[in-house]
Amino acid sequence: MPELTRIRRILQNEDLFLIVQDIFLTETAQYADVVLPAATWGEKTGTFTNTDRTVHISEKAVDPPGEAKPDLDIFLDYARRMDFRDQDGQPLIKWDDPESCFEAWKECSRGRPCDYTGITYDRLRGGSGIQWPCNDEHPEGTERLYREADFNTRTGYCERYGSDLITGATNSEMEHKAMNPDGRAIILPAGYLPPHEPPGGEYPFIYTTGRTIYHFHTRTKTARAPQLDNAAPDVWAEINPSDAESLEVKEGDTVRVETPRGTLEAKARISGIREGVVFAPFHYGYFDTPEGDSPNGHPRAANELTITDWDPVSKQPIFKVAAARVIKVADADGEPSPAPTIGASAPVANDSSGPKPRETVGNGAAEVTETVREA
Amino acid sequence: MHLANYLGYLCQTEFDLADGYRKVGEAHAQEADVYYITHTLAKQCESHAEKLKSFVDRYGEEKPEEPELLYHEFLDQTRSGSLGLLRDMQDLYLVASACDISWTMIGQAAQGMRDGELLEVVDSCEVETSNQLKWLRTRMKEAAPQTLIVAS
Repeated sequence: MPELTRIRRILQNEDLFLIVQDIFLTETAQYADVVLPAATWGEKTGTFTNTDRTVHISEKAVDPPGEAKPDLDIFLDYARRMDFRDQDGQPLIKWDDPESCFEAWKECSRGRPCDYTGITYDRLRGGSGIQWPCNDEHPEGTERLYREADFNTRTGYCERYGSDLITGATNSEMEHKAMNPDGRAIILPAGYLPPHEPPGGEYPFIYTTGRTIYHFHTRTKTARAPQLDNAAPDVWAEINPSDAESLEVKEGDTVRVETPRGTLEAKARISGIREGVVFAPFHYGYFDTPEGDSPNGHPRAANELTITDWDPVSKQPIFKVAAARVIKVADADGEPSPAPTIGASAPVANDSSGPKPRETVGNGAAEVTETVREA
Repeated sequence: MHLANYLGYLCQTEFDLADGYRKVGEAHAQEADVYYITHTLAKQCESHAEKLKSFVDRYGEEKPEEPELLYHEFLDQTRSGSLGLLRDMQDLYLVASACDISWTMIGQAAQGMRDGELLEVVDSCEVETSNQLKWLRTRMKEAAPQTLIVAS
């Protein structure tokens, strides 16, 4: 979430009753009134669908630890305790395990663009993933959509009537009909809109956030893999060599990045980033620091600085653009930044401004051998 | 010919609407989407008004006396809270509707005058005004159930 000070304030609101279902005690979970410990993949059976529409089955291999339960069991328990009923007075939820739930979902999707009706647990177990739509018409699934340039834009069939890209205003059924797309694609032009918080004045840098290949999201899983943790153990801030020079910042110096909403402190990496831009990875929070759930004087989460703003149609938060200033607060003291030397955070060639960056190297700790046995 | 009067009226109403968007955006700044979208739309209204200015001059020479009661006052104050947001957006809806129907009428006059340049301006601006109305409607629809049923 952006602007973490605001999020923490909201989560601590006395009027707010917060329930968090998660596999780890995250920062958010520490603010919860009730925590529902959940099972992770490998501890539960179910299907998941990739963004390329491929449906996979994922089998339970081990029992979840402690009181943790699969999400489905938690939802079913909730529905049972709430005593949800249908109009005939029968239990609303008629399914009771992953496969019967999948069968119910297949019925929901019947005749719709994402038709799953031709997929079964047996088929998923027998071979590999299957791409929806998979039905009588496409029994093997569908590798490519819209092959005949026939799009899902018929007014009676489409999933939404579309939105204005500037405001998110939604079209009505009438407006969609009037457009008469009838299977043709709709191309929406979008004029350039300047960022809502352009750099300038007190905040001359563009602040942007992103990832390193060694971590996933807020590291709840990857920080627990020693090899990944060693490769990128802590936050850093990337700046361009010419900005570094004018700020008198060297490799490993501690800088404070500030926006109107908050502060981040990190060691600097002089990288090939564009001039006028400062970057911080968004992987680092507080669950594995002594503070636990908040900065407490050591702000290192990239989202301390981001803006509360989102795209009006997709509702994606604007994590990539904010105005910031960069201030040097301490010398490197012989210690380079913890940024990996592989990927976008690689130091610029021949940077000798500060201590030599520690090279990101692999070792035997993650080595595996897989032997293919004859059937 | 009253075209200049109406061009002047629409030009002023677009400026009023821009002002209204900004006031409502500031009054409800904790609603981040409302804050940013109202500011974007305020700029859009100002650019509509700027585009109209040269046509006010073009037809100004034939302008008769200013008719009585042509202009009206809009949005002198804003409200607070979630119900206040709905009412403020409803006020904006009225002003945007006044612009929308004015664009329609001026479009008719532009066709009558065979004024291709004015027609081009009408064509590009009236789509944006109609999208503004659509946004106000979408956002009010979204907020109405929570505000009218749950909020106290």
